[in-house]
Amino acid sequence: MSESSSQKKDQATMQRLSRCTGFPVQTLRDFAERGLLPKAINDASSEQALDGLALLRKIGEIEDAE
Amino acid sequence: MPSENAVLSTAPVSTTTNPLEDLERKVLENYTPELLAALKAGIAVICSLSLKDRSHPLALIFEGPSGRGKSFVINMCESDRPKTHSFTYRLDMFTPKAFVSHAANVSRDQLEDIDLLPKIKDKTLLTKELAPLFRGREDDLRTNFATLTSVLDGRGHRSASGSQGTRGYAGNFVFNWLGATTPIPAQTDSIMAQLGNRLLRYEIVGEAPSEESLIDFLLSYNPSTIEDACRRAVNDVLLTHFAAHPVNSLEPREVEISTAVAQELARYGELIAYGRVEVQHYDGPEGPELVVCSPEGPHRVLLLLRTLAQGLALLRGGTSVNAGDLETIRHVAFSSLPSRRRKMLRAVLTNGGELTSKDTNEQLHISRPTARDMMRELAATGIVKLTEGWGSEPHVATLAESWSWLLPSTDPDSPAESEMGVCAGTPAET
Repeated sequence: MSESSSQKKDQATMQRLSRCTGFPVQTLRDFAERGLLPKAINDASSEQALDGLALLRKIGEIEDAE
Repeated sequence: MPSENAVLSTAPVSTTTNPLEDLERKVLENYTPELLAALKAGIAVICSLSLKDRSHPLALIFEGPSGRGKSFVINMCESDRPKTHSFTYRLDMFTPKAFVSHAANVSRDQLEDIDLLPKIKDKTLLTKELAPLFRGREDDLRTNFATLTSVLDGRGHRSASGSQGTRGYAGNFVFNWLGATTPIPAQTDSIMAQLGNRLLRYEIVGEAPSEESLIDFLLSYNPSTIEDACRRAVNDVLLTHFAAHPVNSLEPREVEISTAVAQELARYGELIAYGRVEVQHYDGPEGPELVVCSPEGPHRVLLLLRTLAQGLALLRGGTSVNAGDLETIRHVAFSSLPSRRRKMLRAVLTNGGELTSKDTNEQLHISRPTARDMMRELAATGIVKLTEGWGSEPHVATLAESWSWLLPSTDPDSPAESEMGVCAGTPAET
C-alpha cells in the first residue's frame, strides 16, 4: 500500500471513529499516538488500556471487509 | 449609540502573523491537541457575542477529572489588557443568588451595584470552579438550578424575598458562560433534566502523567511564562475578531449554514434532547424499573448549537459553518449526555451498532449487572433497543433505526461525508 493510500485510509478510519465517539479527529489522533484511545473511549483503567492502535486496526479490518 | 464593547474594539496587536495560527503554535508547543480543540471551542463561545439577536445565553461547561486541564480554557480566556476587559467577566466561584441579590444587610438602592446579571450582559462569564454548584443537598441543587434555568432563558430574572420584596430585571439579558467542573454526578443530571437543562458540556479526557513527564515538567516548566504567552495569544485573537466584528454587530445569516450542515446540527440537537431526558429509577416488584419522562423540545438546544457553530466559523475567519466546526459540535453533543449513557452509546457505535452485555462488561471494565443497568438506561431514551437475554444469554443493545445516522457511513461518496468536505486536519471553507 502506498504512503498516500495508507494516509487516506488512516484519515478515513479516524473520521469513522470520530463519528462513533464524538471526539474530534485531531484529538483522536493525539489519543492514539499516546496509547490513550481505548481509555478515552471506554474509560478503562490505565492497566487495562490496550495499544490504542489495535482498535484502529480492528476498525480498519472492518473497513477492508466492506 | 455604539455599545461599550464596540467602542473598545480596536486594531489587532499582532499584524505580522495570523493571530489564530500564532495561538495554535504556542498552545501545541506546551499542551495537547485535545486542549487546543477545547480552547478553540471556548474562544468560539466568546466570538459568538458578535452575533445580533442572540435569544439564549450560550453556556459551555468543560467537564473532566481533576488536574487534567479542564480549567485551562478558562484561565487562557481571561483578559490580560484593558481592551479585552469588556468581552469577559471573571468570577471564580459564585452562587446563583448573586445574579439578583436580596442581601438583607444592604439597602435596596445599593443592591443594583452588587447584582451580577447586569454586569455580565453581552459578556462571557468565566468560572473556573463550578463543582460546588453541581454537588450538595438535593434542596440546594433544586434552588440553584431553578434560578439558573430562569437566568439562562435570557429574559432577565425577578425574585422576591421577605427582606427586599420583589426585585430583578426584565428584558433581554443575554450573556455567554464558560465554566469548568469535575464529572457531574448522575443525581445532578437528573435534577437538571427535571428543571430544564440549559447547559452544553465539553468532555476533557486528559491523561494521568507519566513519571518521565512529571520530571520533565519539574525541570523545565515555567507556568507563568507559558501561560502568559498563551493568554496573550488568546487576547490577540479576541482583539482581532472583535475589531472586525464588534459585539452584536453581525446578522446571524451572515454566517452561512448549508442544508447539509443544518441537517447535522438538527440531528445533534435531537441527540442531546433525547439523550439527556430524565429517566427515573424505581425498585419494582420484579426488580428495578425505569420510567422515562418527556424529552425537552430540541429547538432551544438547536439554537445554542447553531450559535456555537457560527462562533467556530467566525473564529476561523470564515463566513460559513464547515465540517471541521461540526466535529466540535458533535463532541459537545456527545459530551452533553449523562456520562453513563455517553459511554454506553460510544461502546455500541464503535461495535457497529450492536453490543451484548458480555461485550459491555469486557469493553467498559464494569460488572455485568452494571453493564445491564447501563444498557437499560440508554434503551429508556429510545436511542437503542434492548433485547433481554434469558438465563445465561446476554442482553443485546441495538441502535434504534431512527438513530442509524449516528453510525459512520459505509459509503465513502455519501453526502454526509463528502459534501461537507469532512477533513478535520485542515477544514476547507465550504
